Amino acid sequence: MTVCVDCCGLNGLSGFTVGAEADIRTGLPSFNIVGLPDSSVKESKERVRLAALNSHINFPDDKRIVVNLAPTGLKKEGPSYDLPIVLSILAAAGIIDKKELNKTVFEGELSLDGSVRPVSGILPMALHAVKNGYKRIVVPYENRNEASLAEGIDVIPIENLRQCCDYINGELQIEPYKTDIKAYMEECKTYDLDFADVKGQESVKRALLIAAAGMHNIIMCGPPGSGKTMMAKRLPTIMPDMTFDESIEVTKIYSVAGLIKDSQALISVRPFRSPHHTISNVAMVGGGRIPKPGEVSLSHNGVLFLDEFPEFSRYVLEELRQPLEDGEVTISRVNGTMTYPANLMLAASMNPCPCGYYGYSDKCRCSQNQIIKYRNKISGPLLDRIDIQIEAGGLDYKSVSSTKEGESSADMREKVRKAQLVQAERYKNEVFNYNSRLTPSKIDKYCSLGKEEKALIENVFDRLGFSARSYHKILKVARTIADLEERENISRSDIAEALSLRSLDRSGE
Amino acid sequence: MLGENEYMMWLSALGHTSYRKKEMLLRLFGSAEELFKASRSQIERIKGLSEVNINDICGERNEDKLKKYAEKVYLGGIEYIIKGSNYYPELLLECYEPPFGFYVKGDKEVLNEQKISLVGTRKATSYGMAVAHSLGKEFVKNGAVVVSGMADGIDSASHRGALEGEGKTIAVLGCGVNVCYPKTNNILMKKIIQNGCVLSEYPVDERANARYFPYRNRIIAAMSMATIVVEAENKGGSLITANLALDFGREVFAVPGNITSRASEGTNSLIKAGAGVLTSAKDAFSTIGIDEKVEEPKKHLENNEKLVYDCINSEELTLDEITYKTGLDMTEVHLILLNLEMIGSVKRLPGSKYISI
Repeated sequence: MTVCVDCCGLNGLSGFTVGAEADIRTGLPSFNIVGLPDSSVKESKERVRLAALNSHINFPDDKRIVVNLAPTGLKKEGPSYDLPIVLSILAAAGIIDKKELNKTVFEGELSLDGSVRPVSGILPMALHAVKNGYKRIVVPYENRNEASLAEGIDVIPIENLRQCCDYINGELQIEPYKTDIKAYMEECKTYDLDFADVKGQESVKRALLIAAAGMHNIIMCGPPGSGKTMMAKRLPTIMPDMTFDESIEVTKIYSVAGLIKDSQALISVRPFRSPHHTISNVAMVGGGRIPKPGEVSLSHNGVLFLDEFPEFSRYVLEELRQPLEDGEVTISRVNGTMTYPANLMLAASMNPCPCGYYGYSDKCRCSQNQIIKYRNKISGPLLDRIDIQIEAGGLDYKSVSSTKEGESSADMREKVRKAQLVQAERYKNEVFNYNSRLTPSKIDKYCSLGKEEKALIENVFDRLGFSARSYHKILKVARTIADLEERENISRSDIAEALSLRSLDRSGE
Repeated sequence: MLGENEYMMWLSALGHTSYRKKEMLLRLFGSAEELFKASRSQIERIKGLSEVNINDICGERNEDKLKKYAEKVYLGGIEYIIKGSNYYPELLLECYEPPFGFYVKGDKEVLNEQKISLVGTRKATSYGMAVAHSLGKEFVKNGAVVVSGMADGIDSASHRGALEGEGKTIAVLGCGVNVCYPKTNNILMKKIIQNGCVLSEYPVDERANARYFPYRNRIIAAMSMATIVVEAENKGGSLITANLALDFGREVFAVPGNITSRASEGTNSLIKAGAGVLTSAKDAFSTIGIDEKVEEPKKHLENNEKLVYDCINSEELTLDEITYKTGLDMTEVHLILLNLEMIGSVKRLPGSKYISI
């Protein structure tokens, strides 16, 4: 007799339906799983058998069992197939009521004592189930919050196999689990950090404000101890809250990466990732035998902060180019090609020279060659994707010890929100929302300059040695500054300020 | 046709014969051509020449090869200037071992103009770079040609300042004129050739060699009536140049620096030893024989511009400090600084710092 139990597999961030079909008949006792299982799925037969026996369920040990995971063309990986496999066998053996299995998706890993353990990727699976018309999803107890973020489906949390069987047989009632999503969104939106803690460095704070308003990538250059990291960590606090859809997108990525904690199932604050500079390129952009999201995807809708930028390996930095350009990253491996979103804001920090003090203190003994070599580690094409370059000066005791509070994150966030509204209104007929995403042809359309402004920028380019490629960046940033000041047209002071945000362009020849 | 010029190229390129022996040979034979054509036995008869010298002189006397080399030199737009030429600066004859001739790439006319030598350390501070830059500019604005060595640091900054002032500048190289050392200066070298010249006594393709640099310093020191040391550590090429200049009876000026700054140790000790103190380009005008041109009237500064300018006047300030001190809005300060920078009243340094000029 054959029974099919539905469950979900994952391909990148999207799910696909998998049917676990079990067939039991008399013959030499054996237990086989077919349908392109990977080794963790193959091992599932030991877990399944022992979990059932330890739950005092009469596992058909003396029969010939075959489980097929359909469609057989797709690779299956991970332990989330344990529960559907065991249920299909038990239903085929007539131990549980197979009629109750209809229109239901089952996910869960079994432990040898019969308890059900949480699995990663529940949210995308639940969303897939909703899309395909399933009425119910049975999930591990620890995944209940995450699964309940998918609206339009009953979430049944279970703790162990025994409970699950009783529920299916109607011997136990379990109420569908519900969360108040709105309350959840509110509850999680607190930050421990605030820009008010930052004393001095007004020009860098201003640059970060501009960067956040237009989602411009930014690089901060300054001596050790100038507060680059401290300020970068506060970047998410001045970015407007994520919408629910954005939160779901981010949560899906974290879910697939297995980074969701049950206590905080919905990622409602913007991600801030700061990987160490020894990171490998796979960890940065994603990859693996079956590609998993990397740091660029984990900072989707948030900030990727790369401290000590030139210390990262050259390959890692070069691989950032595609995600920065396209807002997504495509990873191809033998087992499949996956595209993960990576719409992020890059914040980077670097020292001005290998010793860190060039231009700030007489301590610096680096030769011109060393400095050039250090700076050349960041290639031109990559630097081209960073709109704002700001120098963070050293801090003196006076400003650190001052009692005057800096501008608070809440005030800055409000300014950013307003500027982003202006942009959203202006670009309502475009595919992008932010000034940083303007292409050269769109720049001509949206960043038109008056006569005086044109004269200024021409004059500056002639005399102060800017490279031609910084021209468009200056216009984009000037546009954002004008938006922050709620000016319709770009003024001369906007251009002057934008010019001061291209400091690395000028320190060379 | 081969002439004295080409034979002199051959003679000065001989690497195993000292300057003095070459000089003696020239005196005995009358010209480089005679020496080139002399038989081995004639040369062997001369007292004081070692076996190595004789092999050096007789070994490479191939007319075809010399012709080919000379052709290459001229095709590259390079000229060879020997003693007695109109373009051979008279001042150069006053140094020890004045070159028999030198290669010039660029405009040779500048060799006859009033010159000023600017030298300094390669590991310059931002202060030194800014000073060298503005001195270079100031001198060319008043009609002098800036001579330096195209090394990193002060040398490059002096050349750049001269170029920015739309004036002429001469780079004396420690390698052949077809070689760019350091390589990072290749754009600068091109600009110097367009607005002045590079010169060197070494064969055109000769690679840079550590011992050539101190030796070429004598040319830098001798070419002008005054040598200005902008920044120098306690030992190094710039102090060699200063000492040579004194030997040739030239005036030496040093730009004072912070006594705590390592890059000013050399200049400060020069001052202690009696060198002229230079705080403005004007201090050296009379020495090199140029008159101060009537200064362009300073552009009238508006209220806030003046406020910002006066605020920076005394020290290096960051943008934050300027904003704080003047109490102006940061956006306004940006525009004012940009304007001041464009009219050349302030200069932006690495680290978002500004100084007034």
